[in-house]
Amino acid sequence: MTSPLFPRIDAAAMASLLPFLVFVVGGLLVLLVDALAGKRRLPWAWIAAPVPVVALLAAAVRLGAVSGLTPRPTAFGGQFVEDAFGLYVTVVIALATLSAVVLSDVFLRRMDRYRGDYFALLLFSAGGMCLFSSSTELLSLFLGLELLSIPVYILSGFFRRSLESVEAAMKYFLLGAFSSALFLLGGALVYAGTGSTDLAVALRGGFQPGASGLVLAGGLLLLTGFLFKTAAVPFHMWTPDVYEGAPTAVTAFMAAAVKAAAFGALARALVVAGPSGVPTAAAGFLWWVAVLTMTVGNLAALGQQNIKRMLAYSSIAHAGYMMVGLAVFAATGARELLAAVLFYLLGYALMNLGAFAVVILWGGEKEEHLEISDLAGMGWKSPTAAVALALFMISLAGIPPTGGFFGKYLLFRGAVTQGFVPLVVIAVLNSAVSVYYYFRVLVALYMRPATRPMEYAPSVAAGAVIALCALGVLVLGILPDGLVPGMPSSLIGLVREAVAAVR
Amino acid sequence: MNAILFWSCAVVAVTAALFVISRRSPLASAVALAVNMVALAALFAGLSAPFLFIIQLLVYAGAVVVFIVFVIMLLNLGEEETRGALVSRGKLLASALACCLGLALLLRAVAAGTPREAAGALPADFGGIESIGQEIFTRWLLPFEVTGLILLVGIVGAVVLAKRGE
Repeated sequence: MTSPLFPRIDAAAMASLLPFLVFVVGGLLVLLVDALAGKRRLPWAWIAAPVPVVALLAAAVRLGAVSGLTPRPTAFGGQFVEDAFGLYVTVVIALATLSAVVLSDVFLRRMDRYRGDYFALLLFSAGGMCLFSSSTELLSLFLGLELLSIPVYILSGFFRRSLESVEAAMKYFLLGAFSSALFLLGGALVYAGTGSTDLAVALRGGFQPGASGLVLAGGLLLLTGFLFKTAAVPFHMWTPDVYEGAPTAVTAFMAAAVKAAAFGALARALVVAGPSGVPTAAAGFLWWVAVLTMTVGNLAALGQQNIKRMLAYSSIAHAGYMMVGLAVFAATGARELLAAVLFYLLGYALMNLGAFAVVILWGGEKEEHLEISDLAGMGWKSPTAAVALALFMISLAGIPPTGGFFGKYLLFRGAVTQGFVPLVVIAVLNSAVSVYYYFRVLVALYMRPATRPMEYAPSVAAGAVIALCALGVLVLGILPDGLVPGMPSSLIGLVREAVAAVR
Repeated sequence: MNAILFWSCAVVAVTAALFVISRRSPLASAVALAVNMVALAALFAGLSAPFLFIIQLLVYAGAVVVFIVFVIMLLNLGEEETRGALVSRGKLLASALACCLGLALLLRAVAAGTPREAAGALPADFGGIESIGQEIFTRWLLPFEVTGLILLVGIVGAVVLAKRGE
């Protein structure tokens, strides 16, 4: 027995699980109402939407409650850690879930498959993400991973009549199950080598000279599981097909929430493992992963015509930029880089959700096949949404005054300070390349004659998500340091505090 | 005695697992899977885990394999469905690479020393129903409850994906 793991289930333990509990209980309630409603059609999205809102509020309240607390409050004997880091990731997850629920309302009505269980699955997945990004114990980490993944596999194949949707679900499920199996095997090897499933105990001691090689093998396999979920090269092959084939609202959820949870969990694992838990070889490996992920994502995005595929490759490229932060952290232990990654995650989630919301608004029934050339003339036909889409593209390209710019700025500045100049040069070159394909969208919007402008039905719900994301991207870009005057800390201060809280 | 049990069961388990992935007929794979599960169960027995041994036999070697066979029969999967090149050059290259990596990891693991010996004598009740129940409902309560949620999600998913008449 390596750590006192006996849980005391009291009010404090339950309170620290609050956002997780809100998502899970909300999902159960939606399922229950679904079962009682029989064949009646209820406005499912509006039944489900309060759940992420409550989770958001709960996370914000707990963020106030735990800030500055040492030692870290843990529940269930350390299997669930409540700290500012996890709560910040939970906020991103809740925002993405709320947007996905609202977008699904637009999307499912149009596709005539408006069902309650869809929303329950979304909420369960969000609950799994809370667990995944707030756990430092291998067993609950793995279960969080499964609870977040399995609903997304199902949701990818929600349109059974669509061949692309079924293909996406099948591909994601098989590869995902395989990567989960590797993760589990890694956990088993680490346990066999150290006799503990507590990440801190297992990895910190595991790489001491003379320690068992089982831990190295296990640690690498665990890393594989994380990298698969973040869609980092060489574990990215599933991304374009799955993003293209899945229902667009689910794609938005995957791009924003799944990625946030995966990066949160990986960053936490790296911190918890500590400098002695991340051998030099692993840090070097992450360096290469960052370089390959950026480069492969950007080069492949250049030739894409389909918007969803283009955004899929762009999401791989952005995973590469965030991996720069993790690689530098793994090599030097500079927490500044993790704060930059957290900042980046929020901006990245907002701009992707916004871009996918525009795709849903304009897409019509054939949105899997929406191509960049189809956007011709939309700048004049739907000016507000077009301006927002242009803003998201500018932000994705990393141009001021947007959140995307500040995210990259913080990341690259931190990496240069730590002496990783070649890595930053590669990253900046990649950003320059990416401008080409993001600006192709702008060119199509404003400079191509409308040969056959798309017809679309206006939607208040999609419009609200687009407006919210656009506002967020602008605020992050213009006022990253002083978000709300009355608040005790700015966003940058908040992410720094969050990162400092992990131990 | 224990070493003989371990090695014979291990060889049977690995061989059966190779059969599972190399047979063309899904039914043959399912039978090989059953053999693999039984061998694993015997390994559990050798590790003084009687409860896991029984559960492994009942649930995995019994119920799960029966369900798999059921599905194969229902879908009427013959060898025809699986015809076609099983091995392409890309796959061969990938599996060779994977084998090299796996071997490297294995060698590294073996070279760095044997796994730790179990510390001290086992408690009298080790692996029994009572001690497992104690662990599940105290120390591992959270993972246990989350497992229940995952099963629920699986059921919902089966209904969503397989329900007729939509």
